[in-house]
Amino acid sequence: MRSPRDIDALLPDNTVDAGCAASFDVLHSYVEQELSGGDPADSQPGVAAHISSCRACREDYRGLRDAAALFGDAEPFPS
Amino acid sequence: MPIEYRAVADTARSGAAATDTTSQLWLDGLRASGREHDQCVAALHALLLRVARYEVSRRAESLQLRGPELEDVAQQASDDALMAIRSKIAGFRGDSRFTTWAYKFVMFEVSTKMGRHFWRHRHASMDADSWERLPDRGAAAPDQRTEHREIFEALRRAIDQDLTPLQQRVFVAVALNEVPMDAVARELGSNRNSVYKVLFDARRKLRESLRTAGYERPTQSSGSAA
Repeated sequence: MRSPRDIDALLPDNTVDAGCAASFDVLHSYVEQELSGGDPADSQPGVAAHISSCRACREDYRGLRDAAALFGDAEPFPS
Repeated sequence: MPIEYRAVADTARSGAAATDTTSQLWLDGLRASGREHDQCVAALHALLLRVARYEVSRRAESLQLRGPELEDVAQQASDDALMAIRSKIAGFRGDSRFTTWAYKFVMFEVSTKMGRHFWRHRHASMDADSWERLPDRGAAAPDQRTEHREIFEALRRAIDQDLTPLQQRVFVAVALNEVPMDAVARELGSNRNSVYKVLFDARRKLRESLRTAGYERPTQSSGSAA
């Protein structure tokens, strides 16, 4: 018997999950790799799995991705 | 049984990367002294506040915050992010732009502050028997309703019988009632990472319980290798 989609959402099965703290440690490089056209899920599968399972870290990831895209080139001393 | 997180060797970079020109300007300014340092700190704080305002606005609807509260969260988040950045700057390895690394602390602080504000506006429970609603969540196509009901009944039993009280509390709050992890952490006097470990363990127990009860999970997609 296959389980319904709601069960999959409630009980994601990510065996490579890096966890919140370890994902936070490298979230900046994960985002930069994505913004430069790469696929960070290839090189950092533990982070990708965690983001898919942890709503809180997924929000941080989305916010960081947006912020880096919008405000990433700011300089300290505008010319 | 302890949580079995896979080591994150795949996520770590061992050495420092070359720093881009703009990032080096930030680093030089923050490490300078006198007026140059002060100007750089002021510029960074202004930038962090801008990012924080953008981020709280992005999240405002889901947390029902408005006006002064949003600005309060943004101000506090940017202040605390600046402190964190200044204390951790030696840990910047150049594996991203400096700003991306710095904005990460804004996201962390915004999440923490919004978790604190959550309980002021929402009355979601951490303890109610919310799994009573599970069968409704599973209602799908008519020909699948019986199957869904059986699985959700098995899940309800597993939550009730197989989880510890803390696992029940965290699973109900986060997975069923959609309480933010940081709000749960605050309620429990814990932190996000610890709460997630409890959730992770609860999910694993529940999957095993369903498997034992004869409900096999579908084949997982890529990215979840052993």
